[in-house]
Amino acid sequence: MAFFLKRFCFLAIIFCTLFVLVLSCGETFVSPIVLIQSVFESSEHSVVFWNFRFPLAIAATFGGAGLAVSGLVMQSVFRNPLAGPFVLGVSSGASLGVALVGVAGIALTSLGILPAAMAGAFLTIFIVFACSRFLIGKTGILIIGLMVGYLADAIVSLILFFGEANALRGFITWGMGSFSRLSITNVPYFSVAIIIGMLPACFSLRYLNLAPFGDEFVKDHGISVSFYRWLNLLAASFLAAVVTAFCGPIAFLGLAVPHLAYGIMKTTDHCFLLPATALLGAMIALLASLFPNLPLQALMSIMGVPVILWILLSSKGRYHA
Amino acid sequence: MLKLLEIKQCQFGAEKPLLNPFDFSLVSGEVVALLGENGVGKSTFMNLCVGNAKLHSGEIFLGKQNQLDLSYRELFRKISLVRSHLQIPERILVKDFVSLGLESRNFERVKSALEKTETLEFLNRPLITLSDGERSRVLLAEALVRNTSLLLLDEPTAFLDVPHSLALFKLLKRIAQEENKGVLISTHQVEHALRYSDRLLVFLKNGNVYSGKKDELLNKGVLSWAEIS
Repeated sequence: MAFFLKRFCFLAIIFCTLFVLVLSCGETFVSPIVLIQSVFESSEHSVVFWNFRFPLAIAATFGGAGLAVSGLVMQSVFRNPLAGPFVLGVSSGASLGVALVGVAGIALTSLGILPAAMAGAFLTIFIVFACSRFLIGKTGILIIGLMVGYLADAIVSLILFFGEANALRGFITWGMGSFSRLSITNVPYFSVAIIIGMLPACFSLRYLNLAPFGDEFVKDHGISVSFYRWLNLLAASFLAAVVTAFCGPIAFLGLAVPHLAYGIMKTTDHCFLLPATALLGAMIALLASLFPNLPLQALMSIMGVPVILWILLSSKGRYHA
Repeated sequence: MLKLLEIKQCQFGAEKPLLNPFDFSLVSGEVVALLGENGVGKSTFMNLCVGNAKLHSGEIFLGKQNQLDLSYRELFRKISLVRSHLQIPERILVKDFVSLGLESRNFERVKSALEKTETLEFLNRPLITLSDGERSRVLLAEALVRNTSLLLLDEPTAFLDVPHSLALFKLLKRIAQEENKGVLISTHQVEHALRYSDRLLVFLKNGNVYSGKKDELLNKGVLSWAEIS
């Protein structure tokens, strides 16, 4: 237990540091002391703080945590270390929603994109889970999700092929992902939605620990497979949908952060792995947010892949990755 | 001796019944070996006892309670099933695996279960790196940590050589006697089963089921399919 506490304290310190850095850094650097003052007093920095930096920090924290937890749940339920938040086609569905809005000619403002992305993402979830009801086993759900995702991607490709240059530019920009799109008015909705999305996993720790051994093993240990599987897959898809709708598709986080968390915590017990994953997801997203003008997906992959490879290769022989 | 498991005129199977209706009971402190050729329904019977197979007719009692009246959680607290064909994830450590048998964290019970099965030295090793014999003992430790009165083992000797198979039988015999558990073990190691079990339960391909003392069944020629008389 002491081992885990030390690790969590270390991660928490880095998280707090990154959070303050994101609030402080931007076109101009604002010291933490001035930041605190601007929270309570109206000043020239208050506008920047409340309208740009605070929403950015919140979006990165909750978005990063949400995607990472979604990826961990997907990997545990599907018993597949390469599963991520978007294996059930959520990102593709959101992209399709945004592409259709562009074709329909609605200007690509936040007001247009957000509902379109939401509608596309949740429609995908609905289709995948409605079709999966007729199948036994989780492989069927996975295949349906992949197929729906491929179909959505294909339709998006056709839309882009016939689309206008301006619309294309807007779609491509959205597709790069960014935590800067969250407005201060959306902060409460976004944060609450992410917290709600993570709650089922918090109440399913035992199931998530048992799931990698197969359905019979889960049942042997007194847990209802179908209830917890559906609950967690729906929650993980919901998390992916919310983050994608508000921030655009963000790859890497959901797939790689669970492995990073495992490498640091050295346990498969979700009691420790889940909070570590959430914390690390938030940290990596915050780190990427220090460079808001660069493409988010590319930045996180460039930062994160060497770290993952280092952890895997330095652990060789001590435990299997 | 308490009657821990009672089967009354049961028939079970995925689609049609595999065997003729039969009665069977398992009491505390005894080891019963479940024998039979491949495909007669030994694993299905094990699954039936833990509520994971279809009961066509008859009743199953765990103690005085009908199995159908028990939830999965209540079954979990009464009966442990050790599966030999378990998909083991690559990363899980032995201590984390054995902890899966507990509903709340208790490291002392994990250590105690590993000590009983002589696998404490593997505490921090990945389960997948153990040999077949070591792994089978750790799987048993996970069942023991649950501290259920009934212990079922589905072909735990499947991948074991003779010395490891003998060691496992001896361990189960000791556990049954010292902890007053009822142990049902399905196995193809007929000679070891004859040596270390108190009674036999035999499923035959013609659908007949026999249970009773070893000598009694041997005299009836029930084990002729294994060329043992």
